[in-house]
Parts: sequence; structure tokens; C-alpha cells
Amino acid sequence: MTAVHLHQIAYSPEVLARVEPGYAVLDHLANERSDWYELFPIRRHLHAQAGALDENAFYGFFSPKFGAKTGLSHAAAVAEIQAAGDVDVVLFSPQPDMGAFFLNVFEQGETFDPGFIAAVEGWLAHAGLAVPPLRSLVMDTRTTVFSNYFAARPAFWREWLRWQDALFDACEHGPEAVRGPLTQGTTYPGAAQRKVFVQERLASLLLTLQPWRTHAANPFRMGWSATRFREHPELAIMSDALKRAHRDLGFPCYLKAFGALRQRFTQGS
Amino acid sequence: MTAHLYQVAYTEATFTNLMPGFQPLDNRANLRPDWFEFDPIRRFWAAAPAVDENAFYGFFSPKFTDKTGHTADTIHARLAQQGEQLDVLLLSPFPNQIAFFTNVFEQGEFFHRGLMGATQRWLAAVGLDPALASLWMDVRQTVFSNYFVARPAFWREWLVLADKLWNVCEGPSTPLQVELTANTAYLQQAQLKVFLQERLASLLLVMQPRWRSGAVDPYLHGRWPTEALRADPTDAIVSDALKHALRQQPWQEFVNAFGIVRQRVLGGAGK
Repeated sequence: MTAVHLHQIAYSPEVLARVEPGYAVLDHLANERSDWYELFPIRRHLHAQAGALDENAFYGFFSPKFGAKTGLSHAAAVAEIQAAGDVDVVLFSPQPDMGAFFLNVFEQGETFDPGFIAAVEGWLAHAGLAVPPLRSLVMDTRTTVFSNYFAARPAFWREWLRWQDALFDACEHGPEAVRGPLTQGTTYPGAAQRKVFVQERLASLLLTLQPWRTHAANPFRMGWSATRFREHPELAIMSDALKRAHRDLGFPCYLKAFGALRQRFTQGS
Repeated sequence: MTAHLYQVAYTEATFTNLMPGFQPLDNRANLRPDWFEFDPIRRFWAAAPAVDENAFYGFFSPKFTDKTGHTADTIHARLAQQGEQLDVLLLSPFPNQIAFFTNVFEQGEFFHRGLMGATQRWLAAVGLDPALASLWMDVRQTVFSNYFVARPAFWREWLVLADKLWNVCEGPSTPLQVELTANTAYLQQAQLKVFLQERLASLLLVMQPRWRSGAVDPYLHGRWPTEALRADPTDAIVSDALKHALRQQPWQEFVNAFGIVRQRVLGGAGK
């Protein structure tokens, strides 16, 4: 039986008191550097545990909203991971409309925060991370991660950490031309900085660029977004299928049809 | 990556006037026209020829380019790109037929009533048990007209199935034999067995998932049957993509969405 270690991030005594049975607690009661949201405690924990993790086990670090957003209990999440077969990463991404109607999570981010892609590409160039133009990437339910809701073996977490460290460094110490766009406030409640939405997209980027083996829990049974995109679930499901087919088979017709469905959605709204 | 491409030559005219890049598979005697292309292809492999185990072999009717828009160059180019990762490369025509049906047997039943039941009974008779009604085939398992190239290892497995069909149809009279050799309304009353034999490769691909199959884009030169599909093939392409998705991840949402599209296009004609 695959070992699974799922943590719930406890950033206040109230949250700590409500941690669901089964979860280990990732202590973030001091809640320092709240500007980084969940990245800060996860990153710190992984650095502290370097070399001490079980290479065959799965690890996950979820916010207290995991259950509400995904509809999954701790036991259900563990069962999904243990039934996933021989994979490196198991995804639990809610808001399937946000994943489906956009080519990738960066295009989705750009829609809600103009300038997002330019900021990310500026950082990637600065960090020397060779990535194709972000607008050209196609992601489907096998590669789309929101809220860092995934469990992975240590090999994936190490790669994730390497990229997060590069982002962290750029945001903390990088030149203003790179740091400024990444730390710009957004319209998200609390004026969360853009970097928060960049960090939660790096897992998707890695899954798209590198040959990690993934399994996705069915996102269409999780919570949908609070936007108008949720009004056409059947188009979202079809859009995801078209992106899968494009990634696997490469026929140009699939992306053309994806565009046609998006147009139907736009015209229907 | 070597490909040996044969054109089935039924007449002197097709023997001497081959599609560029094809060599003849001599069937000028046409001793068993009731089996269409199946007879010469089966005889080719039944003779256990000396073949190159790493090469691809394919047997095409003279209508290949007309039906698909593809040529020998298409096949060689695709194999040069991807052949190392494949055992079978499909070049099926009729993209709408690929897309809107759950599998080739359901599609066959739509046009040749009785095919599904007869095939299921034949499978039982020869000791095979796939439930045809529950099979999902997408563009990588759907073979029409025997338009595919494959390595000899695949062809030998095909021959095992082909012989099982041949033996039932050519053997003693049984209710199943009568059923499979009954005439249909298609092309000079072709027998039902003809529509089963051209589905054997698809059957093999789903029964034996070890085969690595790819497909040449059937939508590129898609011969669509209606002006509406020619103008906007989105529904067909979505259907195919949904089948591809649900073969990987059998989520009910993909099944339901496939049903929605199909209902819109075919009405109650499908299942």
C-alpha cells in the first residue's frame, strides 16, 4: 500500500482546532510572510525535510478549504491516490470550468489579471528557465493544478521547489523590472500580489513541460467557479476532451474545434 | 522506416495502373469476390512469407487516395516521424463514421442491420468474449476498409482472427454460418461477413491493448457526407475527442457529453 502523507496548513488557532482527522498539521501559526500564502510554509517544510522524505510516498499540503472546494474528505483523497496506479503526481484541481475553457492556466490568469503572462515570461527569461511562449501551451485536466491541490512523490516536489526557489528569489531580490510586475497587487480580496497566482501555476507548468506521470481526480464533480464560466458545464467537458486529444494526437482540428466551442460560449453569454 | 505498400489488383487495369508508391497484390483471378479484399490479404499472410519484422505492411484498395486524400508519401512521411513508436498506423476514411459512433460495430449495425448480433455470436462461437456494446473506439482504434499499415507481428495476430472468421463462414452450415453469409443490401448484395472482416483490425486493437497504434489525421482531407458537416465539422471532432478522453479516463461526464452531441446530430439513430 502506497504511503500517503497529507498535511493541512494551519495558519491560525481556529484553523488548527478544525483540522480534519487524518491530516498531519503543517504548522503555520506564526503566519509570517502571509504575502506568499501557502507557498511559504510548504517551501519551508520541504527545505527542512530535504533528504528525509520517503521516495515512494506521496505528500500533499492543502489549505483548510480543500474539503469544501473539492468535496473530498481526507479518506477520499487518500483512496484516490492509492488507486491511481504508477504515477508521480495526483491532481485535485477544483473549478473545472477555469481549467477547461482556457488553453492553459496562464491564459486563464491573464484573463483576470492583464499583464500576468508578461510578468511570468519576464521572470522566466530572467531566471534562465527555457519555456516556450506561455500562450502556446495547452493544458488539460491531467496537467492543470489550482491552489496547489496535488499530492506527489518527493522527486516531483524537488523539481517544484527548484522552480519556486527561483521565483522566490526573483520576487525578494530580483531587479525591479522583474520583481515589480510579480509583486504588483491584484484585485483579488486582500490585494494579493501577482506572485501568489504565479506560484500556484508552476506545478501545471512542470507537468506540461516535463514527462511526469499524472492522475487527476474527476474535477467535474468538484466545485465550479463563481463566474459565468460555470453556466455551460457540457462545453467545459468537451473543451477539456479537445485539449486532451490535441496533446495526444496533435491534429490541428482539435484546437480549431476548441476555438469554435469557446466562440459558442462567448456568443451564448 | 520501411513500408511495403500493396494495392489490391482485381483486374488487368488496376494491376498495371497502380497508385504511385504501391506494388500490386495480384488478385486478378479474383477467385473469391464474395470476400472482397480479405481473401488476397489473408492468402498473403497465410503463405507465411519472408518479411522484414521491423517494416510495415499495408494492403489498400485502388480507392485509397480517393477515399482518404492520402498517398503513399503520407504513409512514409508519418512513419518517418513516428514509426519507431508504433506497431500500427491507421488511415481510415469517413471521419464522421469514426466520430459519431461508439465503435465500428455500432457504426456497422447502423448501416448493416444484424452485424452487431452476428459478430457477438461469432465471438462467442470462437471463444472470445469482448462485449461489443460496451467498447469505445476513437481515431486510434477505428479501421475502415482495412486501410492500415502494421508490423508483421500485428498481421499475424490479425490472421489468427481472420482464420477464425474464415473457418466459420467456409465450414459446415450452422445458423451462424448462414447469418454471416447472408446477403446485405450493400454493393451487389455483399455478404455480412465482409463488414465483419473489415472490422477485425479494430477488434484486435481493443482486445489487445499492447499494440501501439497511431492515426493519420482523418480530418485533414475529410470526405464529409453532408454540406453541414463540410461547413462545420466541430460536432464530429468533439465526439471523437470525447471518446479519446473517456478511453483514458472513463468519467461519466465524457460519456454524457458524447451522448449530447450525438443526440443533436443523429437524433435517436444511435444508441
